[in-house]
Amino acid sequence: MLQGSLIIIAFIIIAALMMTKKIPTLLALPLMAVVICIIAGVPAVGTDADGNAIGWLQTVVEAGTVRMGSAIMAVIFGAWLGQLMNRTGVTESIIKKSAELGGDRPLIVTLIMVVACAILFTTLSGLGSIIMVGSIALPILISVGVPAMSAACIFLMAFNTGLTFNIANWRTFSSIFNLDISQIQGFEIYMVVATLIATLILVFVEFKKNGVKFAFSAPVKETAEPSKQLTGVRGVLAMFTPIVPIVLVAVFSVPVCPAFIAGIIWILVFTSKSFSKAMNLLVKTCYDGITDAGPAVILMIGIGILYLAVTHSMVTAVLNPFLLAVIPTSRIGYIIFFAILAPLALYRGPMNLFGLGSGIAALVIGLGNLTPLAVMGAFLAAERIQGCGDPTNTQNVWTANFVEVDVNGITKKLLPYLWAIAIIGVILSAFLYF
Amino acid sequence: MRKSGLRDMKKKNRQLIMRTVLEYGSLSRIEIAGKTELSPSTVSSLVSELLDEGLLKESDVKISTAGRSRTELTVNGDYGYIMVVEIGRKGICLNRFDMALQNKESYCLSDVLVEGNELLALISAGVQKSLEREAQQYGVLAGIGLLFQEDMRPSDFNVVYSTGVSSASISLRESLITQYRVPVEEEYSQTYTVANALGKKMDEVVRNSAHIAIGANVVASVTVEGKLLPLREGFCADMAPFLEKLSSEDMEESPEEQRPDCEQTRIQQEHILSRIIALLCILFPLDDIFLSGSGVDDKLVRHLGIQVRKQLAGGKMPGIRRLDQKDMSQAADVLAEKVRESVLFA
Repeated sequence: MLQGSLIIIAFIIIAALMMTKKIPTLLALPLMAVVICIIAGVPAVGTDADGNAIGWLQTVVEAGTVRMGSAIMAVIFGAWLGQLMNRTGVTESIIKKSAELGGDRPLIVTLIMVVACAILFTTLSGLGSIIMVGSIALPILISVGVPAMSAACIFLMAFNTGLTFNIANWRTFSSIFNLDISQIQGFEIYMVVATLIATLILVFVEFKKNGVKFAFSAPVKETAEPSKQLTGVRGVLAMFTPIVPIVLVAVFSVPVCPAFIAGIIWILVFTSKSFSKAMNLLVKTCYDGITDAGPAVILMIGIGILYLAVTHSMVTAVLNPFLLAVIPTSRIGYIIFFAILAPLALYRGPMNLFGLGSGIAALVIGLGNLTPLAVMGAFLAAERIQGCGDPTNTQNVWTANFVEVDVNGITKKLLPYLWAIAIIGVILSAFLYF
Repeated sequence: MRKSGLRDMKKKNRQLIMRTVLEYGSLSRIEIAGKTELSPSTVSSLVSELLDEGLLKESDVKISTAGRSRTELTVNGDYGYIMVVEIGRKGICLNRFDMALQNKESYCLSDVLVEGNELLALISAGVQKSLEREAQQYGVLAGIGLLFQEDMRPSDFNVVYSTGVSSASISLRESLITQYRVPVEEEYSQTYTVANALGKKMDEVVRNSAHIAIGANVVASVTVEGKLLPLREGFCADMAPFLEKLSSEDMEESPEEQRPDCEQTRIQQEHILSRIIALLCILFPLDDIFLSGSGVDDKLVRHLGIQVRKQLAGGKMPGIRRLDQKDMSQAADVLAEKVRESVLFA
C-alpha cells in the first residue's frame, strides 16, 4: 500500500515537473521508469531462480531502449520519405496545384487545402514538414480572406486528419498496445471520418462567423511557381507519392517499412533526372531524415523504457490494487470515465500516448478487466485532442507564431471539436470492443 | 477566359516587366513595352501597380523627346534589405544589401564558427541591430541568404525548436523563415566563387576551370563551358578520403628515416595536390585551376606549377591561380541577387 502510494506521488510529481516545463518529456519518461522500479523494490541487477534477468537495469533500461524498435524504424523511414517529398518539390507542388484548382473561391480553396494537407500528413511527419507545408498553405488561406486564427485552426485540423492515417504512427500504437497494425487501422478509419467531419464543420462555422464570402471572387495572393517544377505524366505520378505507402499498408497489408521503401522508390523513379543524382539525393535525404526523426526516436526510447517498467511483475503487483479500484468495468462507466478524462491528453498529461499515457495504457491492459482493443480505443480517441490541441506541441507553437496568434487561443477554439471527436471515439470503442 | 488564367497571365506579365527592368537597370515605360512586346497600356497599368507596391521607383533621369519627357524606372533600392550571412570555419559575417544590390554594410558577427541555436541567436541579433541602425531610411527585411563554406552541410547547423515540453530539430533556413517570414536561400560559396563571381570579371578565362578549396576538408569543383559540372555529391567533391589514401601510400613508400618533419609534410602535401590537379587536367579540358583556403600562398602556387608540369609531361598546362579574399567576397553579392529574385518573383 505504501509502495503504491509512493509510486502515485512520484507519478504526480514527475508529471507536474513535465507539465510545468521543468523537465523535458524525453527525460521524464525514463526517470519515471527508474523511480517506479526503485519504489517497487525491483533490484538494479539480478536474476531469478531460473537465471532470467530481473533487474531494472537489464529488463527495463536495456530492454526498453529497443522495445519500440519497429516503431522507431517506421518513423525513420517515414522521415526519409518526407525529406524526399520536400526536396523533390512534391510537397510544394501538391499544395500549390491544389490552390490553383480552387481558383478565386475562398471556400473551395480552403476545402481543397484541407484535403491536400490531410493527404500529405498521412506520410509526412516532423516539424520540418509542418513548416514546409504550413509556410505555403497558411499564406494561401489568409490571402483568400480566412482570418489568421481560423487559418491556423483549419490547418492544424487538416494536419490532425492526415495524422490519423499516418502509418508511422500506426506502427507506434501497434507497439504500445501490442496489437496488430490492422486492428489499429480498423479503429482509425472511424477516427479519420470523425476528424474530417469536425474539420469541415470548423471550416463552415469559421466562414459563417467571419463573414468570409463562400463563393464570390476574392483577391487571391499570387502564389509563386514551385521552385522545382513537376511536369507531365511523371510529375502527376510523383504527386501520388503520399498515398503509395498508405494504400500498400491499408489495402494490401504490406508491412510499414517496406511500404515506405516502395514510396521512396516511387518518388525517385518519377522525379529523378539521372541515376547518379537519384543516388546522391537518396543518401542526403536519408541522413537528414534520421536527423528529423531524432526527437521522436529518443521519445520512443523513453516510452519503451516506461512501458517495461510499468509492466514489470513487481510493479504491477504494487499498482494493480489501485488501478482495479479506479478503472471502470461497465460499458457506461467506461464511456463516462474516458470521455471525461480525454482532455488529460493535453499538456503531456496521463492520457497522452507520447508521454505518460503509454505507460498507463500498458498498466490498464495488464489489469485484464478491459480488452487491449478497448484500451486502444479510449487512448486513440484521447490522442485526437493531443494531435493538434496541445499548446505544448511544436506544430501548434510554430503555427501560432507563423500567423501571429496566441497558441492557447488555438487550443480554446479547437477543444470543443476535438473533445467531441474523442467522445465519439470512446462511444464507438465501447460498442465495438467492450 | 477563367479568372485564374487571367491572373496567371497578369503574374507572368509583371514578372516579365520586373525581369526586363532588372536586366537593363533603368528603362522608361515605352522602352519596357518595346522590349517585352507588351502593349503600352498593359505596361502602364502594371508599372503603376509595381510603383504602388514599392517594387519599382521612378528615377530622377528624364529623357527628353519630341513629345512628353520619359521617366526612367528602376528597382526601388529602399523596398527592403537583403541580408547575406557568410558562414565559414573562420567566422560568421553579415552583409546588408538594399534591393538595388548596393552593399550597405558588412561586418563580422563572430570570429569563430558557431552552430545551432547559438548561430540563430547571433544572426537574429545581427539582423536586428542592422535593421535598427537604418530603420528610419529603409524598408523592412526582404530576404536572407545563407552562404555556407563549401565543405559544410546545412544540416550541421540544425536548430532545436523547443516548446519546453516537446522539441524538434529544424534547419537554420526553416527557423529563419519562421522568425522573419521572408524568402531564405541557401548556397555554398564554392558554387559562386568561380562560376559566377569570377565569371563576371573574366568571362572567357573561367569558362573551363577547377576550384580547389583547402580547409578542414579539401573540396574540388569543376566548371566547363561556364557551367559547374554536377559531380557525384552535388557540385563539389570532397577529396579528403582520396588525399588520405595518397598520403598513406606515400608514407609507406618513403624510408623510415625520412618520415615527416614540417618541411617534409609540406613537400608531401604539394606532391599530393599536384597529383589531384594533374588528374583533373587529364579528365577535363581545364584552362585554369583556382586555389583558395588555408595555407594557399604564392609559394605553394609556384611549386604546384612546377610539379603539375612534371606530372603532365608535356600535356596542356593550366594556369594555376590563387583566389584571394576579395575574389571570394563576390559570392555574397551573387547570392544577394538570387535572394532578390526570390523576393521579387515570389
